[in-house]
Amino acid sequence: MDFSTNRADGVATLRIEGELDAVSIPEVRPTIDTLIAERHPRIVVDLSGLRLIDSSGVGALVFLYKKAKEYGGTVTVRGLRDQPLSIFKLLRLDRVLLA
Amino acid sequence: MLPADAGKGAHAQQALKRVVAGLVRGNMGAVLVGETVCVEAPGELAYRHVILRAAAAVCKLAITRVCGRRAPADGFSNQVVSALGEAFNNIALHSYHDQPAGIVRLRMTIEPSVLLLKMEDYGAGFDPSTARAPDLEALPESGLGIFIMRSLMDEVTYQQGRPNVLSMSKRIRECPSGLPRVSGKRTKNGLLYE
Repeated sequence: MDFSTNRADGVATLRIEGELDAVSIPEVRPTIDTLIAERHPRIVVDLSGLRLIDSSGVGALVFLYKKAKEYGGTVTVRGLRDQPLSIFKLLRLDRVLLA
Repeated sequence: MLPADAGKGAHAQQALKRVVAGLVRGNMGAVLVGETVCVEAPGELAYRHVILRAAAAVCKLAITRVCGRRAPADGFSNQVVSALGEAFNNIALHSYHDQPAGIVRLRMTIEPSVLLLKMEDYGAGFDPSTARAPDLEALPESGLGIFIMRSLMDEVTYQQGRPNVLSMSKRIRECPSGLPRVSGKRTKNGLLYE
């Protein structure tokens, strides 16, 4: 799993590639916590390079969404396809998180 | 309708052997027992990818037998891999939580139009039948793994013991991309196609 962040024009973008699962979550979790602590009004999660997600990965993204909502921010997910998109639809997350 | 012996026989056995050989070349502890591909790995999260890569390879062979050698396995494979990933997480994070991680053994058997999976471990166990269905409207952050397994597989059963055995099955209902189901002809390498 690779990830990067970019902050520009009032938007913080978190790009995650590869696999977001129970193995890789500990790597990206501090970055998620930082984005929340910085209270970005608009966070975009770019998952166009994500091949696989599991319930742990979903849980981390839902955590980010809920925390941002608490301070009035928004989180949108873009670029989902294949297995990650199927999991989002199964868990009905596409209605709240997809751009 | 596939013939009763579809997926069996010398050619099918050779195809299974090639899958196992590919896994072994990838440093995975895989063996072929009869018609069943067996993969073993330590029950630690670091070995999750071993189990999932092996399952993806067997899924590809399973759907090829039903739909033909050019059939994509993405949809079927993604669902099986997703369910198995959750099952492995449960073993690594819960069943072996309070003890040194033991072995996880995955047995995969390709029947004519169904893939049978048995995942074994020697930990404390977890019973999927005791898990409540999540309230998806509340956007839960945890407790989704068993729901994913049940949703994506046709059958999920669990037997606690030594070892604990999680059994799952998934039918290959339809061929992707409009590909026809095969009538049972075999190629020289054991694959089925029309």
